[in-house]
Amino acid sequence: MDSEEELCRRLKAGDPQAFKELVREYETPIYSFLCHRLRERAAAEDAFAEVFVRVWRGIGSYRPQGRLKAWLFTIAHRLSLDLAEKASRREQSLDAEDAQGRPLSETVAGPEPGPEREAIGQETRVRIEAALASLPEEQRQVFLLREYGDLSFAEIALAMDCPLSTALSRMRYAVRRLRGELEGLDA
Amino acid sequence: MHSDEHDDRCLLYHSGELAPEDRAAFEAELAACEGCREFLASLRKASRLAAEAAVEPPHGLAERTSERVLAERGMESPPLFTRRSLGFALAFAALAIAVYVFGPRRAGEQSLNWTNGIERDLARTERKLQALSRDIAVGTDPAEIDSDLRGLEESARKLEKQLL
Ligand SMILES: [Zn+2]
Repeated sequence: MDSEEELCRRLKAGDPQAFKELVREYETPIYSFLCHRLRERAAAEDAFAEVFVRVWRGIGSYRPQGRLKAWLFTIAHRLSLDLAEKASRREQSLDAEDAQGRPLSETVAGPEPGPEREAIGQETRVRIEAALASLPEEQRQVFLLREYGDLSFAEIALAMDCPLSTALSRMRYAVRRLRGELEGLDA
Repeated sequence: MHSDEHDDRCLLYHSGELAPEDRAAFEAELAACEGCREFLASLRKASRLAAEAAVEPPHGLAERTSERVLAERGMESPPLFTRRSLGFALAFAALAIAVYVFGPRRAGEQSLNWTNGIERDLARTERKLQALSRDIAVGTDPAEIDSDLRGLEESARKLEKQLL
């Protein structure tokens, strides 16, 4: 595979092939991140497209000071914040029933079970999703950026615009809480 | 005694952010601290389960997305928000303001409507300029800066058309 630097150079030159490679490479991590953030498959799919619209639009001004991945997940994170804000405004005005409070599996499950469903079993998946959903918002953001983005805490602090110590303490609380929620699973 | 600081060190160890010497020291101390071992085990377990809960993307998502984005932006999408386009927008805005302030029509103030329209556009352009410099200062998402920039460029061109 191309080195990140080379991929970045080709992207900046507007190489469509490089863009396709990028989208393919980050398909699962970005999509998973968005699914757990937005808790709805259709919303995650739309957001996925929007992330890459922003990436392609912004690549010209992107200065590779850090990892490309950190930049991608920062875009995905900020987009998810925008969407969450919009959703809460909509909720306030409509008070509509939506995905809130329902397990992700109900809203994320497609008509056909993906291979990963069989791998870990529906019950385990529901437990994990519920555990993640139970985290307070900011703890969940840190945890998802760390686990699906594989971002370092320094990168997470930058993406979330908070001190490193804050990113660490959010993760600390998240892990402690998940320890209880995931008790008995996959010992 | 195990503490929050120990937890943080476990987190940085797990994410590979400890310097090599700190890493070695941490590993040496790990055996002595029950709390660290427990926290690290919880962290690894949460991490493993989260990986298992990754959501399989719908078939062809990457292909559909890249085709859609490329079609929207054009295959030869030039890198945006280049210094050149920023320069254009700023030059237009500056020119427009200069022409308005020092231009010949200013002296006569022929039409109130005309000046009101221009003033409104000038004020709008100025607001856009302010928004843009604020976004640049706070390191906003380049995509947003790009969209601000296009708005600014559009206003500047409109002003230019009215003035020149
Ligand atoms: Zn300890």
